[in-house]
Amino acid sequence: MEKRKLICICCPMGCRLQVSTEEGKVVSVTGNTCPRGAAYAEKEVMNPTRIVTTTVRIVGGSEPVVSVKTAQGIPKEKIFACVRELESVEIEASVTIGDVIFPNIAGTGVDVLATKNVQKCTKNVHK
Amino acid sequence: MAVILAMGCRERSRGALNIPGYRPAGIYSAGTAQRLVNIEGYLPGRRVVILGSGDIGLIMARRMTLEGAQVQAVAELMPYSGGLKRNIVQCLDDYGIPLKLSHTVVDIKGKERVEGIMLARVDEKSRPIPGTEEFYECDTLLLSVGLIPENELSGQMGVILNPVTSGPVVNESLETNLEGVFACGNVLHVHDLVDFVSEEAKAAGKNAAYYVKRSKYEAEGEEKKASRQTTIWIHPEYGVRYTVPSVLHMQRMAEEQVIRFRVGNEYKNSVIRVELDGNLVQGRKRPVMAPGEMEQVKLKKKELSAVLEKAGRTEAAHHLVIRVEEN
Repeated sequence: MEKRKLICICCPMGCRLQVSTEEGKVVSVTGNTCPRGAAYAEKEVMNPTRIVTTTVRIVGGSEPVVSVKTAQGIPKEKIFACVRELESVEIEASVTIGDVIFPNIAGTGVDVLATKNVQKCTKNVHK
Repeated sequence: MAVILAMGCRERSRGALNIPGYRPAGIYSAGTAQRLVNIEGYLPGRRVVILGSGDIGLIMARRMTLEGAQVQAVAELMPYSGGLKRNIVQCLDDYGIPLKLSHTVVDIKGKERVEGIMLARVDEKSRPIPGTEEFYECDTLLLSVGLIPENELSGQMGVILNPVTSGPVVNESLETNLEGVFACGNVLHVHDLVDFVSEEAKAAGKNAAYYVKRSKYEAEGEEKKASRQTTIWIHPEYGVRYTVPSVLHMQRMAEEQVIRFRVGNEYKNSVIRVELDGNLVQGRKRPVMAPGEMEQVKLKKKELSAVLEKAGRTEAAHHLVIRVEEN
């Protein structure tokens, strides 16, 4: 049996959770004060995911970069692959909130979306 | 006419700290670094040490890591973090960045550019302990050492400020001591979450609109009534550093009033006790409280009225105490 210690992030209480797993399955969660803690622990051990926020370069825009995020959480171990893949991406202005900047990032099936509007700009172009 | 103060806050700068050493390039406030990375598209450094565990610093630890920088440590003077637990877990623990509690910067090496940072452990009086120094080679120091509400204008207007929050003293309508002058957001007190800032802004807007729209006749009538108004002064006591608002006018208060506050230390398995003129109104169990996480109590007008009626008190001024009760 394997044991892992986690801090619950569902609310500011930050319960200290102990998760026991056996043969790749969660057998017990202790230390949680509500059902959300148990669900968080199970997900965090079996399939931890994170919404990733970063920026992508803009060509011909009023600003040099646009802020973006993954539409849903992606597997935690794909965070760096996601950011590296976006490093070389350049997007032509204009960009609107919600635009798909990059589909299926790092093979996760999750799209990366713009979280800011950037207008086209011919003067003062950022490269 | 009404005025709503919504100037936000600014970062505490290096000048406000007593860090010895030269003044080389490579020292940024966490907010400046955030602007450089997220808006201007520059990476301010490659090897980073962060002083202070405020939320912006924690978020920048993750942000710089994702951008390819190596964040070596976050040093916090206090024995507890100044940021949200969620940010400690998702911005530091996720990336294996050590949080060094009860540590501070004792020296900055480098003349032209930061070359390294000396951290040391501090004792309970925040004095560095000789012999505990650790050297971190780095090119960048980020400071996330607190936020200060921008109240220079408010002070000049004659708005009374609370020395604990550095923000205006307000009533249930978020109105300051000057009639028709309201305040909301980080200029009032520094928040952790933008959701509460938005909520406060909405309330201030609504109250200011009501103030402007009511007729002169109504206003005069209210003033006459004011002499008979029930006023409740809120007093933060043991463990509670401040409250927003600081005073409630029963006649103007909504059915439910949220009182926001911060505690001054980490408390475990304690109770937030609310007493009105010595009578218990509310005792809420809180398994964990920390200075970095804003707390709140919700007061129901009915409950307050019931307490006042039961006590048969008729004086215009009453006193509500909020404090932490440790077990």
